[in-house]
Amino acid sequence: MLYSVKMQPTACVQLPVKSAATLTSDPIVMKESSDQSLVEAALEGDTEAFVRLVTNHKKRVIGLAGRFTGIREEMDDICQDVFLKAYAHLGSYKKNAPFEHWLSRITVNTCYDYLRKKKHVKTFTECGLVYDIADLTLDERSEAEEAYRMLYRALVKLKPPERLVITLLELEEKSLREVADLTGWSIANVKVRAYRARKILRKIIKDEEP
Amino acid sequence: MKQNRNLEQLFKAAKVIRPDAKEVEAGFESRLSARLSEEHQKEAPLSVWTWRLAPIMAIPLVILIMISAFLNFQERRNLSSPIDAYESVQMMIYLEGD
Repeated sequence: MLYSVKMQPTACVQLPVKSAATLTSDPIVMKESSDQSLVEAALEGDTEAFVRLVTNHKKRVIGLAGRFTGIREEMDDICQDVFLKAYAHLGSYKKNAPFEHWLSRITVNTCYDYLRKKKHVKTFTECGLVYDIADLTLDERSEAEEAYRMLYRALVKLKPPERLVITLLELEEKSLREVADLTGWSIANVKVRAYRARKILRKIIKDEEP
Repeated sequence: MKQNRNLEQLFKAAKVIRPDAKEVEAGFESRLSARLSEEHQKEAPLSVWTWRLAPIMAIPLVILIMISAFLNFQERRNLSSPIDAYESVQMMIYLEGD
């Protein structure tokens, strides 16, 4: 059954060997251990714990979904699908890796599925925009917006694997190794797809320029 | 080369912008919970139908039990007849004092 949580015996969480003081002061370790305990609680049927996991990670998931669609309803659908999949397969999460990485893989797969479903849609949908950097001048903002629109008009014309690779590499600033891990493709495959994507993007942009 | 630089510039500029997702973030947990329970309800019909089909499945079961009981009864009756005959002969012998 897809949406049933499989109960699993609690596995031993392997944290790096550190002193108690370091463990409590290291925010990354604290976050990971907090995620681990929330996952364990969720597996035991505590839905509140799962909701807390959602609250902790939703911003990142929504942010990544926003790289593939500007339509809010679609963004919402993608993110809900991500967390529904996470809930359904929580039992398969291996506790020796950070929860965030596991969730990122689900997010990337869901976004890729979305791109494949929408592969015939070649138009860019305008949407409200926000800036990661707050202190941009008006000119910088309008220049960034123009670049954003130009890039996305070109990105929608790429094939789903190429768009996924270029988005992760260039907009999400992931390394080749990270993209390979997230997509399950080999590094060589990621390189080839990135090369092709760049080539096509250059051509599209050149054709668009007056 | 110029195109390559243009592409890099586009990436650099576009990187700082994201679609406004405040509306998606707001109340996301509630919508997700609603969808989770909706998905659970979608699962429910299977169990509901199992219960609904139970009486229908019970009818052939009852018929089978009845047939089996009837056959057992018949078998016992067939077996009991010779015993009864034997007993009545014994009784006659006893009564007649032979």
